[in-house]
Amino acid sequence: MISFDFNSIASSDSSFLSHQNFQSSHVQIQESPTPDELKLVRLYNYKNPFSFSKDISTDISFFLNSHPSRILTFTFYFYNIFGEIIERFSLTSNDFVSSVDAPPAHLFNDSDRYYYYSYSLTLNNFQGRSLSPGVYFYLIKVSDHVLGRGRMAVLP
Amino acid sequence: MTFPLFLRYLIFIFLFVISFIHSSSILDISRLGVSSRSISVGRSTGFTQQAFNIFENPAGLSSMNHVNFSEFFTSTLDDEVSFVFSALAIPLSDGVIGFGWMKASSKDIIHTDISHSYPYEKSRFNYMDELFKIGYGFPLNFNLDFGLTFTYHRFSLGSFVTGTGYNLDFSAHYYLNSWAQFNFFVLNTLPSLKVNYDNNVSLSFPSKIKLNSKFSMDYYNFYSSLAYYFDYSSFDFGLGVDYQLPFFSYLVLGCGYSLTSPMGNLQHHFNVGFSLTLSGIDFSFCYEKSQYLVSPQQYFISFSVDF
Repeated sequence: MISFDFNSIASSDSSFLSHQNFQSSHVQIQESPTPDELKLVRLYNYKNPFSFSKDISTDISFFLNSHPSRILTFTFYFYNIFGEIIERFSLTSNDFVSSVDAPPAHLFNDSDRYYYYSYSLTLNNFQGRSLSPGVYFYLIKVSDHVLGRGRMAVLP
Repeated sequence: MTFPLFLRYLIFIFLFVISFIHSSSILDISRLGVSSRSISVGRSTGFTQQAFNIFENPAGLSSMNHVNFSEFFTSTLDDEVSFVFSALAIPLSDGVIGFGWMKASSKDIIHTDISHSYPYEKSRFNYMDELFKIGYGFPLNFNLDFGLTFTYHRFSLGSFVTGTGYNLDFSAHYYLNSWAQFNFFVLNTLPSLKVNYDNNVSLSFPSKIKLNSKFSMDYYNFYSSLAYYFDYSSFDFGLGVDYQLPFFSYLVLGCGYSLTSPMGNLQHHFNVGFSLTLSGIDFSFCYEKSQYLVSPQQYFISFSVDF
């Protein structure tokens, strides 16, 4: 299992963040790594915790070290606390909101460049079925490569 | 009571519960299984002489004639969720009283906030789901036992929300003859009772009925279980067998298969396990191979002590 050291990453720099610009897809392609070369950091969902009935959605977001030259397919797996899969679906990189400008290297304490991806998760992704309040786990894969995993807390 | 009369009771209870179907409910943490020994035979419950019976067959407490303390541990998803179940059974003059505690928890979940369109980690919080049970099992006649359990549920997601509620479980255990027995369990028999959260939301308890059977033949016991969740409209099914070694009767080997369908997704589970009982102390271990992608295998440990 791949694990990521999120704590080693520097905290958000709001002065930098204010200069970010977003648009759906149409990003400048700089690298085209294989899935194994993709590196994901800062996998969050906002809000967390959240309520599907009140907040409607939670945005699953992360930074990738590249905008691949080809369209990638991301597969999301969702688990209940017993480790049972309750849902899985695939998205292409065009389904995400992604940033045109990569954050500067100092934000990540290394020389890599990172690009922001975000996807709004709603109950439609679960065929409209309600989720019991509690904790759910999600895993993101590209091909067979595990990019990252996170936990989302669903409020009643 | 005759077997047809027993079936008539079951049908009545089934119709009673099905008349209160709710679409949104809390999670049933006992769905994991209630002991290593039970999981190793396809999640069939209520046939051991252990206090674990309080969780899914309080009627099964009736047959216990020792004070018993039992404990069950496991973790899932690479140790991100831990489960601890504890149970105590105390024989009284007319029946057996049982106490149970089930806890599922997960720590250090990231609380996010947003700054200039980017999410960031603001703090961390814990998740906890607990069930406290007190039950009583008693014999109605020579071949039929009844049991009732009062359940108190407590839920928390950090300081964001807490919830509490209570309900009742019921079970009947029928001994057809020396080699066949059945038990019928209803989880949360009062679907009108709710879990009330401090964010002004109320949710129902999950209603489940479960029928377990056990057939004994020489050193073998064959188990089956069938459970239906009204709220999720899903079935769980299990088959298992255990074998007591004739030359070393302290050791029981078991294996089983169970099928669950959380939110309509079929999951297959294969189990093997053993129980070693020496001087009133039982240690059970179960290994499970599942279709899980995060943790394709899992371990369950429980022990039980007679006093």
